[in-house]
Amino acid sequence: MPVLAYCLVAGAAHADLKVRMPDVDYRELEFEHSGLITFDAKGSPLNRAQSYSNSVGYGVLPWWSIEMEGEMASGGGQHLSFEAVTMENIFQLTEPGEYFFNLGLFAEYSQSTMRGAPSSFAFGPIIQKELNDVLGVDSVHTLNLFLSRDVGRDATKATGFSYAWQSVIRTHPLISPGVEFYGLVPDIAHAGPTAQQQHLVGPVLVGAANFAPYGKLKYEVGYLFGLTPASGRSAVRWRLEYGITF
Amino acid sequence: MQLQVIRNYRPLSNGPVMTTRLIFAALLLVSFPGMHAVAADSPRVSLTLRNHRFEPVELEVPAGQKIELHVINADPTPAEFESAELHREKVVPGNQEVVVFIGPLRAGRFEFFDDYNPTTARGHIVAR
Repeated sequence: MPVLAYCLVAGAAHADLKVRMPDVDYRELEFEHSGLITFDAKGSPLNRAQSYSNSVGYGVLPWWSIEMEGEMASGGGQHLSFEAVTMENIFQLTEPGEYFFNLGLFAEYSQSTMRGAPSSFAFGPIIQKELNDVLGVDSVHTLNLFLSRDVGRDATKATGFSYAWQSVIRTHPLISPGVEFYGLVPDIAHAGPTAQQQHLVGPVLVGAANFAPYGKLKYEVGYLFGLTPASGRSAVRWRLEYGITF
Repeated sequence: MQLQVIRNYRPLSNGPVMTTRLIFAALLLVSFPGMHAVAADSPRVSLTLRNHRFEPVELEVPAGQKIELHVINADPTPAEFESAELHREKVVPGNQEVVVFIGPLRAGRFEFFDDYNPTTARGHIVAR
């Protein structure tokens, strides 16, 4: 959830800056922390706005994982507040590598803990393409296309749309470079000019260290540049995940 | 974590057109013909886990082709086929079999192991 006090449409509340993957780690218990700090002109509500989430997840079935997440956020110069509890599901639809694309389905319910802020649903496909040994490199490209809708009290009738794209060159398990794109249209029926939407792009580093049989540590750290005035000047995001299979 | 603020947001009236385009694009992407192309010609190879060791320890496969790897867990306890070099990890419940699709691989050697028993259950694939 963002800083709801500033959101002009509630659909903006659920555009996570994270690229979901279409595969499920069956029987894996994972703990995840992620954070985002945005930068903009002095006095802008996006300047030094922060949001953090901590979650615990589990691969219940070979094709289904579930995650419970607590989300905190603040606008620039404000105190952090606990904004939502989110239940996130990933459904793996194809076996990785079996078809031309790897496909998954994302479905999330976010229960707002803020007065005057609606809860919401979000869902959509996760599409991934692995390219092996193309020009001597392996790479993976993942696209999220999600729709969101408010529910309950204070809900708007807007249908939000967000996309997230990540392309990573698999150079080494510990560190691989990539690029990411994120975007948010708060109401697809009234999308408005591009300048009033949020679109960001920037480099990312991803990696994982395996401590088998004691689990695996994964990380992502990215720097994003705002492409429109509504996106802010820049943002830094990170994600740290520890997972162990039982 | 989220994008934060949509400033100066003002709805326009061209929304339905964009909505239709988005839905159409999504459907087009998902119904891409290549999506349904099953790897019918992929060579099949199999690997067995017994007493927390892989048999065979070395698998030879053709380079440049997708491989259908059947991993059979003959032990009663679960295992996890894992390989950072093959970009795959998959749990194999006790006394069950799973299929892992790998490649196409360049010529070379690719290590794999069982995440539950990484000291004893190790092996490698050689692509030629």
